[in-house]
Amino acid sequence: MYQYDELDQSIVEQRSAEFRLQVERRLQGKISEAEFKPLRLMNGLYLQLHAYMLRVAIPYGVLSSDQMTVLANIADKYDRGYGHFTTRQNIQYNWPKLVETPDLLDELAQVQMHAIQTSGNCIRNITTDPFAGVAADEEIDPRPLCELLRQWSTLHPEFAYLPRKFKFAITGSAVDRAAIKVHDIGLRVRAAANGAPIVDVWLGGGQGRTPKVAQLFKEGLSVAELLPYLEATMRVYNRHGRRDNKYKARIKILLAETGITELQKQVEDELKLVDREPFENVEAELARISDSIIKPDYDVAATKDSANSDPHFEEWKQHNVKPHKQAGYAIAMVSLKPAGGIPGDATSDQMRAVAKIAEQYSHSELRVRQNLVLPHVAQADLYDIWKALVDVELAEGNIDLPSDIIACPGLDYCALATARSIPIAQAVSKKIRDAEKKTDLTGITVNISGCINACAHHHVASIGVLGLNKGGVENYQLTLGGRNDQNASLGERLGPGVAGDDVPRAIESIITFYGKSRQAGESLSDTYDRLGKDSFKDAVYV
Amino acid sequence: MSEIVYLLKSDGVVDELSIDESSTFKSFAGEADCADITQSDVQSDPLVINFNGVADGRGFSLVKFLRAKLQVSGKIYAGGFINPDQLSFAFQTGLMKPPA
Repeated sequence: MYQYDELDQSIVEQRSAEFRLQVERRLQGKISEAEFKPLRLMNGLYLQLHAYMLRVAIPYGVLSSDQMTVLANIADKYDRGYGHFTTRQNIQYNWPKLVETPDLLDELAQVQMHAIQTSGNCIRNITTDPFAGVAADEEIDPRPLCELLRQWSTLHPEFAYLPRKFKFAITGSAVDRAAIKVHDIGLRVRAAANGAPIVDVWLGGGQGRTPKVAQLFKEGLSVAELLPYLEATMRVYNRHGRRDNKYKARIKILLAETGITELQKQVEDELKLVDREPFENVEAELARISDSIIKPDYDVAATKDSANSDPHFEEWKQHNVKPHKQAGYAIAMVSLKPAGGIPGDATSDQMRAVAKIAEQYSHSELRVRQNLVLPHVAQADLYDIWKALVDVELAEGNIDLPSDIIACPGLDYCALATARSIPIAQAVSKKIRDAEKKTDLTGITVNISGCINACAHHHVASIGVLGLNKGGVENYQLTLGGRNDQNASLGERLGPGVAGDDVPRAIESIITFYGKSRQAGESLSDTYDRLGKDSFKDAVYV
Repeated sequence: MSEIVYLLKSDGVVDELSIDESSTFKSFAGEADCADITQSDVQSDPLVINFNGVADGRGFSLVKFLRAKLQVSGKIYAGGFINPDQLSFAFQTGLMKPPA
């Protein structure tokens, strides 16, 4: 992983010290909540339904064992013994006290972690493929570019008060595991004919109440041209993005209202004004970053493991182990989606256990999505890793199965939510887990959002669930046919919403119908596209 | 009616300078459309960019425009609703250069 330098350390320490003063001013009544709000939000501190929530960045999802151990200790000391890992590669603590947050940030800073720009109308945490740098199908390792963008966007003086939040995602594989087409800007790094990395810019994707799939905005930028181009794009957005209506303030709306040709022209015009001096050495800086990413010392003589007779291990291996670019190695995923559990939550004991497993078997490195990833494990160690995960109840073998549900915090925590999502996810996973053990049910994603802001990305799930409040009663809309990969598409509303306690049955009906109707190689969304809405409606609304 | 302009003194302390309406400082709203600003509008020194709220960062891009497109090399102060916590951003974008 990337080794932070003294400058990085200095920045997080200064930011922590600055936030301590801001909290003191707030507690002393020297600034109002209205004045404090943008300051705390820029530091990832939300005021939720019951308490403050602190969102801590895990830049491009890479975490060391030591950092994970600190996150666990913080969960014990400042929270209630657990943390919640998110799809955008953060961890959230749901119960910190305001007065203690400066101390919490100081402890994070000791391992170069922080909460800078995890909220607020600024450039948020840069996200990428959780398998970056190790995926067998990867064309270009996106991590150096992620780090370059992290440095460029962190405390960028011009883009700290944008019309609305701004999210970047980057992938270096043709198979998109970073959902770049539903981000404000998605970057696809690929190799040019001469082997040099070039970047395609996808712009204007997003979810929320106006979901959009990004459009290809600029093709084949050189690395040297990328940051000036992004600077120009952000400047146009900062100047012209709408500020009169927060629901129309994302760049996807600017793109829709301006038109792609005109917006491209505005960016090209702005590009002529961008000061190039700060970017003169960007290629050298990228090379320095690449060199600073410590490559694991793989054992080239590693041998493939033999099959183990334990069927539970075999089931786990079938679903949770993914192909690695290094022969004899594998990517092992740790599911945070046990049947009946809260998606994305891990206890402090589990975090410490995974940190130790990573230290012993994965070159002390982890990756984060709403699950955890051990990115560098020898195939010969897989059985021992599985046994260690069993000991801490983290051995659910359900990655990429329907019970690998993405859910937002919903009405249990979130001040914006209109319905519960966690209890629905728990009930759904309990209902379908047995069926998916008996039948091959890959090709299905289930995402559950507790409001129209779509934090669980229900628009791009093959089965999306949107919780609403109708006349004081929770009601759940179902959408089918979404995709969040390189073929991103938005799901279509199936029909009338259903009651919360009917969601598990409805989803089971959809899955059963798909199982009977699919053709070879079809995902649920493929089957939905082929058969159409009415066939699935008949299966659900009996 | 007066505008507030922040000034950074050489000892690093931020002072607020009230400027009454008789001030001859040329000012622009942070949200001003760059297309409407011409060379003749930026002849005075210093200039002031007035921010209309602490959450509105358009002034930070406006100063970039004034520097890059209209070649303004003199002082440009930040005024209006700007929070002391935003001053480091202001300095870095070319606003409020400390007095020499």
